Amino acid sequence: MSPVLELDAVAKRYAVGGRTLTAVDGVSLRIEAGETYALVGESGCGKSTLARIAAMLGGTDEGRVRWSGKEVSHLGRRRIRAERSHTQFVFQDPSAALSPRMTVGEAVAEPFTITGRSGDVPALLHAVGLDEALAARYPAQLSGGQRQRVVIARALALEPRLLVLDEPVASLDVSVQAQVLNLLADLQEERAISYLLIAHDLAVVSSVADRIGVMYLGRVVEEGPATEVVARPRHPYTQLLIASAPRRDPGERVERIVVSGDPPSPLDLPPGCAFASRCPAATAVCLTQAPPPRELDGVTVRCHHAA
Amino acid sequence: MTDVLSIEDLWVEAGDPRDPVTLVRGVSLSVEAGSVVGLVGESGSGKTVTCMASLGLAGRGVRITRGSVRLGGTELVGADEPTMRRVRGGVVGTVFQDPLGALNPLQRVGDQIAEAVQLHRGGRRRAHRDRVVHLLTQVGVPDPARRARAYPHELSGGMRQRVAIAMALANDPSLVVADEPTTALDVTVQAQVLDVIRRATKDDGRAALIITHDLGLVAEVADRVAVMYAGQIVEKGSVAEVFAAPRHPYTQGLLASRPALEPGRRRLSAMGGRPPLPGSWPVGCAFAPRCPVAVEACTTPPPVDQSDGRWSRCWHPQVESMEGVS
Repeated sequence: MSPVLELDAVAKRYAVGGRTLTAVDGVSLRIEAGETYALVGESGCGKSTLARIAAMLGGTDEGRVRWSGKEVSHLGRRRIRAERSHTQFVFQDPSAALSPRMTVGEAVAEPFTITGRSGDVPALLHAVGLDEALAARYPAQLSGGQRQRVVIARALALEPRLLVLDEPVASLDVSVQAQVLNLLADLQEERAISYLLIAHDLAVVSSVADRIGVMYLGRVVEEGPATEVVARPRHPYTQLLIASAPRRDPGERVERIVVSGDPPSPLDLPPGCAFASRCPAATAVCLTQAPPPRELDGVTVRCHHAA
Repeated sequence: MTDVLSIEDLWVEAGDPRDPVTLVRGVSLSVEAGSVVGLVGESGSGKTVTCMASLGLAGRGVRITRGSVRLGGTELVGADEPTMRRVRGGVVGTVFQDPLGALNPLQRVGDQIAEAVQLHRGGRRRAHRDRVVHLLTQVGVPDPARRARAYPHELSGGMRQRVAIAMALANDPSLVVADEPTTALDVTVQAQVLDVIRRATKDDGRAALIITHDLGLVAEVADRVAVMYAGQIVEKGSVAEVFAAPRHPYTQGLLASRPALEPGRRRLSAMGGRPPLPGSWPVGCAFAPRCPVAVEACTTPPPVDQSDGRWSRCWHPQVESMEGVS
């Protein structure tokens, strides 16, 4: 069976005042049915741009996007609409994703109205753990967690194969985050749906992901099974990310990695490894040659020195 | 140790005085010299209002109706505006979540820090140039003399937050109040900025009050913690004790619901329900509707339990350890 999502060397570049900003630089990845793939990285690494490419919300300048084997990257706006039910997008801020003038019921029924398909709104509300009585309410009358459930219910309406989730719990209260993450896990089990999860919180990612891709300045620098990436990070940037995560308990000893320097400007990427300027392990070769992807125990790493 | 800040039985309300909404009810909290206190809570818990109202920064329509806020011997509740102005930026330095909002985009950052110094010490701005460079060095800004001439947009988020911290330290305050100081920053930068905060407070013998939703931040820098829920403190104590053996079921749930950074997909321990908003706080114990161990008595206001030197507001504080709860 074809993977639910395949990205094949996709790239996105923007012209900025006569120069070129490379947001995503030749990224390839695949997501299988029922799998959660998490993309992690810091602001500006290109993870949100990549998420939009995966959901065909923004086109790709190079490379191909395939949804369950069907190439969609060359499709125009109108033809992509016919394919939309395959992949749905859930934004970070549920308040911005819902019209304030539409009731919950109307919002969840909207995909049916647009496509002319029929669907069961109360069943969808149930599936995301909401009382169907909420259908008559407006988003302003709901809590942040309830709103995010409404957004998820609407995204599920057309029975997509893939949900692209951009920081789905980042704006929620701590005690509500775990509920929504558990809900996403339950829905995945029931529906064999796949997730592309964009997140910055490695603790969240480690508890929900099957695979992890770590992005730095437009490239995936490390990718592999989540357990492997978390237990034995091989790229110095992944090691830095994990070492920087706040400790859970006051007594816990944490080996901090100290890096100096700022990341290079995406307008002016260096010829070698983009992380070299901050990398404690960088040598001469890192400054001149971009590291090719290397395979180590099922993990792909772009680092000259990873072992 | 002497208390730098001492909040006693603080009550805060907002809205129409004839039909007010209570935001904070009876908060008592003190910060000793040289110690860092974390004030933790979710949205609507009253953690930010407690601090802002104490410093007279809560904005229009928010009123302190009862209680006392003493800062180094000065009573701030009912104090006049000149007194409050002397306090803010003088005895107290403040750091907020978004450094961009705290900085003037049209002014070089060095001039802004100099202005903060000048406001309290007088003199000409240029005379404070050395102090500016000293402050920027203190918060770990490399090449401080050059960075002082930068505009905020020319700096990274982490550098801007360092500048904001330098401004907070401008007049050598005895208390630093920081509201979510690292929330807007990337994780690798968070660790660096936390280090700066730790050095500028604890290591320099300054007191700090850090307001956050992030228990990880508390574990990193705080000595003591107070947990707020529905306008009240429900548990307070040393960070070591509260994290190791939380007494209040809400603290327990909050600590347990944090995902750990460890290999393997797993189900998270989730609390039911959601934090109630001001105006719709349940009667009795506000946490009772979400509490796994609530009983009949919980519909009446719980007493403060202070057995074995601990402090929690619960009818039956949990004395067993967290073993088996996760």
